[in-house]
Amino acid sequence: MIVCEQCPDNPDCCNCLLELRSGGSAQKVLPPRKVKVTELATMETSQAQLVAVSRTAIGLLSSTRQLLGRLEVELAFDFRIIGSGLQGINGVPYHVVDIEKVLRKEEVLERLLLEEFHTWHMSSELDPTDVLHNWKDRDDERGRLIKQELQKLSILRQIETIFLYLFDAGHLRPLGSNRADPDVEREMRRLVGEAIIHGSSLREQIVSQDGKKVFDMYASILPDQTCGIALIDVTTVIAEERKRKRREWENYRDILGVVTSGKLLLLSDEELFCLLREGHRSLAMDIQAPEDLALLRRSFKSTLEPLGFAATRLLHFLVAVNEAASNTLKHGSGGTIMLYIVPDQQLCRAVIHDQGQGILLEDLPRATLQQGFSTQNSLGAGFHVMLQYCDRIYLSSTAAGTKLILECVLTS
Amino acid sequence: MDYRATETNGQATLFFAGELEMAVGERVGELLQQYGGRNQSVTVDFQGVSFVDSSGIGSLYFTTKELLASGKQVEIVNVREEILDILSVLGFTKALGITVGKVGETGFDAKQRDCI
Repeated sequence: MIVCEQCPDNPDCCNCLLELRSGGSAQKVLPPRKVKVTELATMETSQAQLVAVSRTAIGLLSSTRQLLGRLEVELAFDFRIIGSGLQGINGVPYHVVDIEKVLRKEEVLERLLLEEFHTWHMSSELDPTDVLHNWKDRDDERGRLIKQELQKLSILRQIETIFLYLFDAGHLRPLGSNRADPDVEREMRRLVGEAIIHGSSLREQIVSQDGKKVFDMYASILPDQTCGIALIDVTTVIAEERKRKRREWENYRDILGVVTSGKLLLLSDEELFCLLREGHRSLAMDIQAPEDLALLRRSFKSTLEPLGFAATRLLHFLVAVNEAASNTLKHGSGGTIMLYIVPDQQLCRAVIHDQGQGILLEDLPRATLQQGFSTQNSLGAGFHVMLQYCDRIYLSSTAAGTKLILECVLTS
Repeated sequence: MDYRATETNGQATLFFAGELEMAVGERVGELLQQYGGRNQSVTVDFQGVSFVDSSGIGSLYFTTKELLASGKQVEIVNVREEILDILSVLGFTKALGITVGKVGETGFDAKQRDCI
């Protein structure tokens, strides 16, 4: 069994996904993302490639270090995963990280869910030990009280179903009449077992056997070694939040497309990746200082001149690429510039990639369309120049950085 | 980027040549400030300029604006057609409201230049 390091280029290979043991929810990361990994025991850091994700685990390629033990994986400054690293496949630098928790700033729902539930979990208002006294007579009352407390957490009002269970003397029983499916109850027993072994409370997100439901499951150890379990159906919340973000992104994409007559297109990372596969890479270089820009222009010119560019058109394209490249220095510590030629379509594409903080979705119209004089050293006209001098611009910006593709038709 | 300067009776002329880009932008602004500060009028000769970008002329733009605000005269002359087009797209000429002349006047003397 071999994990191919070029996995995204080999659509038939699913080894990295199988190792996540997450069923149908696992996905490849296209293109693979560079992430920072910190081993929490030693605080040593290294770089790895994020190649596969699921709701409960992620897959990393790291040829330089063994990623074992407790890890923090930094996808972005405000997007981190804490988990346990395991060797994915022997003899291959592929590691699986079982997710313990996800720390996000922008994913408010998920963040609030975790924090608010943690607050509830730690709160004396709902001391689980109370559940143990006379529980036979007081089940309904305790269940009602817990639900009442949960209702105070505004985020949980959006959740359709909450199951409460108690694990006592080897038996798992629901508090109240609601009961989860048998496969989910099996997962509860497993989590309770792990929580008892570790002697601490555990939280896990699970997917139902049919793949249609997502649950947040919390197992809370009580002083007498019994365990309270809360199971929250978060399927709708997650789906709605994703839909909302997707709608918002599509609105911005449509508006920018209309305003620029189709010249500026927002694309997902995966769409950008597929776009670049249409051509072949002719040039790649790093920009780390203003002095690198002259070499960049010369390299582009010497590569593109033989392809039949008119002198003025070539100059305009160089001006546009130069503006994008200098932006990586103005707003970060530089970036990578690549040139792709697509002979079939008689066009070239310059790819400018930086790992800065990205452009917030709500700032995109101003950043790309407004020509202004915002700083003392620049005219703030970079995007305006690119729009004037290129046939099309593709943009993908996330908290992990910005990718910009400037497209120019060779023959026009 | 190279430059040469002349000064006569309160009139300075700055001849620039090469690529007016990010790496030299601040120096170009400093030169204009230096010669504009001690002369009533400054002419910036662009005949030898073969490339400009927004970072390169950003400092030139802001310094020109300051000089104009202090009552000095600034003009930019001998701009190549293709460079004028870039300046126009950058909004440089429109925003300053100053004379920007095309190629046709006395050119840059490479023998007497200094390097930025």
